[in-house]
Amino acid sequence: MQQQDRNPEQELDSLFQSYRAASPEPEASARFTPLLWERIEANRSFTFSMRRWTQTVVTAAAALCALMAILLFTPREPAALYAATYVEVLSDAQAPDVLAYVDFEQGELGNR
Amino acid sequence: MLVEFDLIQRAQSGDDGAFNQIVLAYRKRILGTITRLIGRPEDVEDVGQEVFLRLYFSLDQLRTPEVFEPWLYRLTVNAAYDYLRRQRRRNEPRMADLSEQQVIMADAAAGGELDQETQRRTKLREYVQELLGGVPEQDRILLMLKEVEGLTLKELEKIYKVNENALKVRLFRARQRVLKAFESSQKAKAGSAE
Repeated sequence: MQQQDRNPEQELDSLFQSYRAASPEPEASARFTPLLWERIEANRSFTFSMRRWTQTVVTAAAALCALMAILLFTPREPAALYAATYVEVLSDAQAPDVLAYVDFEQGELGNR
Repeated sequence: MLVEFDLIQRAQSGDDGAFNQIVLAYRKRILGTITRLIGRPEDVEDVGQEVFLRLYFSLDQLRTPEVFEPWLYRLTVNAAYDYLRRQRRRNEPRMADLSEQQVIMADAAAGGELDQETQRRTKLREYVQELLGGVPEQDRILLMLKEVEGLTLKELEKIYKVNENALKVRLFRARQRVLKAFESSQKAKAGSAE
């Protein structure tokens, strides 16, 4: 009979309430707040240093980009070499006998 | 709320004295919640400081007074969860994982130095933590906020930013697991008593 009267849900609720009552409400130690502020200060300095380093890197990168843009888009005198076309450059570079067709003797190819 | 919103606004604008008053007002409540969530008294202050540290650097995100306490609870839950995850990664076995205080208490109990009430409370806390051991950490924290801390579903909705029905489902499942473990342990006790 006693088993049937038991309500596990209610017993579990009661257990949770007892757990709450059995758990101490801790008092913070005297060092709690000073240590907290130490951590806040440490975090602040770290964040400040990171921000300054990031700003330096971004500024340097922006300056480098600007310099490269200036160098790339500054008009220059074209080199004499590049005034010619590709074919003209090739023909100037090669000796005439290299470019000449090689005449085959009729017999060499086996023609009859 | 334990503080006026004016104090929070002053803390937001950089008044460290105002932030200090907020810490003093909420410290005991937050440390109590953390104690019940993580179960290791010697780490409670460290986790508590982490909560207030995160609060300090996130204060500027608060716009209205109603969200302050849910926000603080959210930070508490996250810090507790991060702590429990770190503990799990260290692979500390639960049954052998006695905190320093528990070791001292075990020694004292063996020597008969602790009063019965303290022993009863310690056993009760260990028993409940064992029952909750079968529930995943996130759901365990949620269940404890509801059943032990006594937060309402509306309050939990604000903390978790999840709708009430989704919370009810998770709570129901977590509670069923604990209930199953509870009933098994009760049967085992009844069996050994016979």
